[in-house]
Amino acid sequence: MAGWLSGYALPPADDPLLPAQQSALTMLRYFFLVLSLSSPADDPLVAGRQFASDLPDFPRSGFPLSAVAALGLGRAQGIAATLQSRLLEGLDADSRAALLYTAG
Amino acid sequence: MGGHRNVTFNHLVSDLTLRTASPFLRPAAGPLPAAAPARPAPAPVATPTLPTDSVAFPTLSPVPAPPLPAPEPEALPAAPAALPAPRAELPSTLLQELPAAPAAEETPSPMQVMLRQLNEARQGRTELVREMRGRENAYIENYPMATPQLKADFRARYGDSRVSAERVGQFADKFAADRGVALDHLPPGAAALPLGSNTAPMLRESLDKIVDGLFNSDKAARNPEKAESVKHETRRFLELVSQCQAEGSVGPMTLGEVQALAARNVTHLAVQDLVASETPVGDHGVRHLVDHNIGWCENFCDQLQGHGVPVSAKDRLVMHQAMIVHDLGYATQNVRGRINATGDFDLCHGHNALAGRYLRERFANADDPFNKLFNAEDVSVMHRSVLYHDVDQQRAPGIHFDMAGGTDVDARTRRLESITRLADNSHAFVDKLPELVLSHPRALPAVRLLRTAQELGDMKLSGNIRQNLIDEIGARPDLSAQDRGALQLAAKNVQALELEFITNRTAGTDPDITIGPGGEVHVDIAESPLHQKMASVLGQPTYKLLGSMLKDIGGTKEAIGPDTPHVQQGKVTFDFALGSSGAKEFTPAESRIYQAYLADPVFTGWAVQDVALKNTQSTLEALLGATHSPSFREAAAAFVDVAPGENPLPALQARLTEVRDQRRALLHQQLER
Repeated sequence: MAGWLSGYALPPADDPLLPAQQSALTMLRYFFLVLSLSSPADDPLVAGRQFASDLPDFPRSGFPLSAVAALGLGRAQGIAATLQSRLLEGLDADSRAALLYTAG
Repeated sequence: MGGHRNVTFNHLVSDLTLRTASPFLRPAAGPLPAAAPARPAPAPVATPTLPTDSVAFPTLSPVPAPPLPAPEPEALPAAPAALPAPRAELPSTLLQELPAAPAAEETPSPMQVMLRQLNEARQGRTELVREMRGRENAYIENYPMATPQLKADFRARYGDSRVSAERVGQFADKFAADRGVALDHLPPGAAALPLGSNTAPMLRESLDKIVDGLFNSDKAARNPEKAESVKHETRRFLELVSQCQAEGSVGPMTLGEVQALAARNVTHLAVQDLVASETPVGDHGVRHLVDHNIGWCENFCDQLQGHGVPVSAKDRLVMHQAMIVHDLGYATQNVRGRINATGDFDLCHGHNALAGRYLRERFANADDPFNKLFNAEDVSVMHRSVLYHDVDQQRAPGIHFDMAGGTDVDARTRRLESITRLADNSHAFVDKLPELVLSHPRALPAVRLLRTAQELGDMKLSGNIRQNLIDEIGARPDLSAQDRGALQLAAKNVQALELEFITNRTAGTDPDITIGPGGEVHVDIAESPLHQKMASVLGQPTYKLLGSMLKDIGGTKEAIGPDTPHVQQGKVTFDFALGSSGAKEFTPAESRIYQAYLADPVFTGWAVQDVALKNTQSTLEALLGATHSPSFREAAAAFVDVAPGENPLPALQARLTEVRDQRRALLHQQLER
């Protein structure tokens, strides 16, 4: 899964958006963790479309906020946000525990 | 090398009865005169200003050493006011020069300085005392503090009168007395008997009563496991004293003298264990001091001896004593009081120097039976081992085993310091978790809930969650009042940030450590099953503690991943059994943590949804702090629709409110279960 995030970059330290980009990277990481726990697929888009066929393609490089925007991960009814919530509900106990242990 | 440590140390402690009945102990002798002096008084050393016959030297308590900054206010709990001050044995004319038991440190008067110099000179130990004081001052000067004020605070902590050996000892005595524990259970007249194979059982029995009174009693701690650990420790201590006598490194001692030393150690362990339980950071109580550190020191001595390196009974005794006091700086009443009042754990920084001062002052007091057990070289080595128990004088790991087996003081110092640091720095994992987590694992979900409340800025709710945890601990009938109080204090000060440290600490089981014939060190670490669950997807951050251990023992921090088999740094090799090759079964402690924190599906279901919302909240808050960015409008599109010419700020704020409300509603649902 580390490879799923490796293409993203952060702006320089004096960029006022750096904290937001860092936070957006955390959002992506969590979403990808949920996907990787839910699907054996080697690609996040493939994994996501197993559960939401309308999951849009998204940038694999550049700034994380662009990927968050394309996925709809930050929107109230965004496709990725809705998918993430649904997948979280469906995780088995071990996977939930693992997520809580890691990121909670 | 599985189980090496346990086999060795358990064997040692289970074999004590057999060993204490060994021919190391000399045959019984008649009772010694009750008033026998601890040691012959050395010839007085003249000073230029005061005739030596005007001062009652042997009873003069050392005056705290260095020049001091402003005193700290007394925090809780106050030092006892009613304990007799040794200075009462000074001539009355000199008594008038000294203030009554000071509440905090003050600059020594010229008379005090002169008396101190006279006292030390009379005792023939000025040079070593000065050297030790110099080490402590150098340690303080070299200690990396972020600001000059923090450095000044450190100096003040060190200089505080509550850190003096006299006050620390008084507090330990009062601690026992307050719990109804007498520190002498010897039969009448037995205190004057010499330690020997026929008298040692009386001493063991007396010390066992003290241990039970402080570690397994409704009036103190009620922890049978710790009581057993401390009993093993005291028995081993007595055994080593006897072995030292057999090897000629300790002269005759009475039961009373040995009891005073061993009982003082027990009270120090009891105080430190209580103080450790009061704080929600890594353990510095019996598990750390005795079970891990002393256990491993003995183990390393066994291993070195197995390679032909000379290790004497005295070396072992020095390490026992060093380990018992090495973290005393966490538990002095000025540090304890301020931590409990403020929750500021940065006050622990530089605790080594406080323990160093304690040892120095015990050495400076010639009447302390401590100095009948340890000579100047022992104390110097012990002082260094305490002062540099985590990093060496150059602030490096400093683990070097000279297998040529030199017996000179430098070789001995390097060896014992290395053993100390290797033992201390290898205690990092589940067993080092705060007592709050191990004794009350339900604190973990409470802290998790607390964190969400704090992230929502809901101080009333976070206060309620904390109070619920405190009440929950208070309602536990299986804990003694002291234990309940300590854990409640820890709950009062626990911070959400501690969750990350706790998670990191579960990365491994206790390591297994071997010293090879060439002095090479092998550290084997198996990942805990708690941690393995995410081995394939975690990436490196959750192995952070393993990387830190590399730095503490090997010298260089390196990133450890689930596929890292081993790392070599100089003569130190780390072998990792991570992921599927890690430990397969929970230890009892890991199992309790799992059950309390991870096994409830409703709780974990809430928590994983909460993390997703938290991530969104954090990003929105960061974005709202970057409205001056030229890319702000573009970035805002990740969360809200932005029409041309429209200011996205109100929509972003509304979205943030929506996320926070959603988190709050889910949190309330969870709390109302």
